[in-house]
Amino acid sequence: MSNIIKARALRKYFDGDRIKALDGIDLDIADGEFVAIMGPSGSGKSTLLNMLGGLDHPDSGCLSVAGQDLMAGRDLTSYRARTVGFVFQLHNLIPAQTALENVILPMFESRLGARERRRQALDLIELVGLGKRAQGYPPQLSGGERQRVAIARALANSPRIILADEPTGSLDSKSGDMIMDLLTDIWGEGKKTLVIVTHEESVGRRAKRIVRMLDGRVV
Amino acid sequence: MLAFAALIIKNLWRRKSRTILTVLGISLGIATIVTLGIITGGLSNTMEKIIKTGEADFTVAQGDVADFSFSSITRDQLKEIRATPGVKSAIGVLLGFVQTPKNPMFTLFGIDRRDIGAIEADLTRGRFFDDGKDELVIGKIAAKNLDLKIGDTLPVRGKNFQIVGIFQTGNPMQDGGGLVPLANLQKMDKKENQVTMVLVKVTDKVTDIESFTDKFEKKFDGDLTTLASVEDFSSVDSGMEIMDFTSTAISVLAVVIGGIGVMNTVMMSVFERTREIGILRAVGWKKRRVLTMILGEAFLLGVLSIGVGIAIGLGVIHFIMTYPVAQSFLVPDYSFKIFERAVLVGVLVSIGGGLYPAWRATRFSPAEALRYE
Ligand SMILES: Nc1ncnc2c1ncn2[C@@H]1O[C@H](COP(=O)(O)OP(=O)(O)OP(=O)(O)O)[C@@H](O)[C@H]1O
Ligand SMILES: [Mg+2]
Repeated sequence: MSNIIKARALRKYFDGDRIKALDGIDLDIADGEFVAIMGPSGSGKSTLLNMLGGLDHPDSGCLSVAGQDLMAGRDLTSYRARTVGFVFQLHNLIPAQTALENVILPMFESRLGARERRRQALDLIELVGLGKRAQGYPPQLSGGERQRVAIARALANSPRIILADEPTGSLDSKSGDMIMDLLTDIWGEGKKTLVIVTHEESVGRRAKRIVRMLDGRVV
Repeated sequence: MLAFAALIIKNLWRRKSRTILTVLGISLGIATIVTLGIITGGLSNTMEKIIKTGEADFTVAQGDVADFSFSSITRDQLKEIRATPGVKSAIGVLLGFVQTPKNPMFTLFGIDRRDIGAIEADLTRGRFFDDGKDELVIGKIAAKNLDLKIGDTLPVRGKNFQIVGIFQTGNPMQDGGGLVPLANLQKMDKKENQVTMVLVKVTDKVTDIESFTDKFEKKFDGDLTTLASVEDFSSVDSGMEIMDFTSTAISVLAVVIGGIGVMNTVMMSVFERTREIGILRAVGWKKRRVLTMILGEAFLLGVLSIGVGIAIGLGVIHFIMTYPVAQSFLVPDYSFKIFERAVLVGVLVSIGGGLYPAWRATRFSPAEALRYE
C-alpha cells in the first residue's frame, strides 16, 4: 500500500526556538489508514494535524500529502478545499449559518452550481443522520449534532483525508461513541484516510494504529 | 453568488444594533450633504433668477460691497448706464427688507410704475400700484403665508401699505415679497436717489455678453460690477461663498467621520470573528473571498446609509420648507448632482473604511485564527 502522508524530520518552533512544538517528526500514513494520534497536552498533536491539513507551514523537514509538497512557500488554499476535511473539537461551525449552509461553505470555491451544492450538502446532512435539522442554527443544536454537521462539512468536496482534532473531546461518552461510530463508518465505506487526535484511550483503540507523541516527537 | 450575498447580509443582520447605529451615523453625514446641497442649489437658483429678472441680460451692482443688499447705485450712475452704447434698457430696483409676523426677511422690491412691465410679473389678482401711493402688490407665496387679500393692509416701517394686487414670477424671493413704488421705498429707507440693482438688457448688436460686461466694468472704473450669472455673485456677496465652503467642508468631514465609523464597526466584527475566519480558511476559502466578504459587508453598510441618508435629507428639506421664510427664499433644487454626490460619499466611506479591516482579515494565519477562542 502506498503512503499518502510522508513526514521526515518535520520541525515547527514557536517563539523563536523556545517552544519546539514539533521537533523532528518522522511519520508515514498509508492511503486508507485509520490512525489515532495520542499524547499529553502540549505534545504537538494539534500542531502536527495543522501541518497535515495545510493550515500552517513547517519550519523544516519534508512533508508531502497526497502527492503534494506542503513545505513553505506554496499557497495551500485549494489543497485545503479539495484534499482534506477538518473536524475540530469546538466551535466548528459559523453560528449565523444554518447546518445546511455550514456544509455548503467549502463548496464556495468549487465550480458547482447553487442547486447542485445544495443537493450535495443535503445528501451529506442526511448521511450524518441530521436530515431533520438541516435548517437549524448551530446554537439550537446539541453538541453531538454540531459535530455531525462538522463531519458532513468535512466530507464536502469529497476529500481523500479526514483530519479530526479531538472530535469527541467536548462530548459525553455516549455521544462521543456515536460520533466515533459515524467516523468509523465513513472511513470504512469511503476508502478515506482518517487521522484523529484524541486523549481518550477508548477512542484511540478504534484506530488501526496509534501514534504516540511526546514533546514534539513520535515515541 | 446569491448564497454569498445572503451570507454577507446575514453577517450584518446578526449584529443588528451595531449595524443600525453605524448606518445612522453615516447616513446623518449623507443627509447633511443632501440637505445642504439642495438648499445651496435652491438659493443659487433664486439668486440667478434675481439677477436675470424679466430676462435681463445682467444686473449691475455697486462694486465693492460686502453684501449685495448694501449695494447702492445713484441716479446719475443709472443715467450713465442708460446712456452706454449697447444698453437697450436699464431699470433700477431698490431692495428693502422688513420683518413681518411670519417672515423675518420679507423683501420689498421698489420699482417705478412705468418699469414694472420689465419684471414680467403675472398679475393673478387686482392691479399694480400707483406711483406715490402707499400701495403694495404682494407675491403669491407671501399672500398665502401672511394670509393677506386685496384690500388688506400690511404695516411697513410705521406706514400701512394697502394690498392692491397679487403677482407671481416663479422666483421665491419675489413671490415671497412685494412690489412697492420706488420713490416711497426710497423715502422710507432714507435712500433718496438710490437703487440697489439695475437690470440691464442689451441691444441685438451685442453678441458677446462677457466681453460687453468686461468693457462695461472698465468704463465705471470698478465702481460698478456686473452680475451675469450666479458665479459672479462672489464679487458682491460673501454669503454664497461661505455657504459653498461650509458645504464642502461638511462633506469632507462626513466622509472622514463616516469612514472611521465603518472602519471601527467592521474592524470589531472582524476581530470578533477571528476563529470563524480561521474556519473559513480551513475549509478552503481563498484570501480573496474573505476579503470580498468583509468588503461586501462594509459596502452594504454604505448602501444602506445612502438610502437612509437621502431619506433623512429629503425629510429635513420637507420640514424646512414648511417655514414661510424658507419658502420665500428658495425652491428646493433636487438636482441629480446632489444625489450623485451622496452616492459617491456613501461608496467612498464604506469601501474606504472597509479596506483596512478586510485586508487584516486576510492576514490571519488559519492556524493562529483557529487557536483563538
Ligand atoms: N501559534 C502558536 N504560538 C505559540 N505557541 C504555540 C502555537 N501553537 C502551538 N504552540 C505551542 O506548541 C506546543 C504544542 O501545541 P499543540 O497545540 O500542538 O499541543 P497539543 O498536543 O495539541 O495539546 P492539547 O492536547 O492540549 O491540545 C504547546 O506548547 C503550545 O503552547
Ligand atoms: Mg490540541
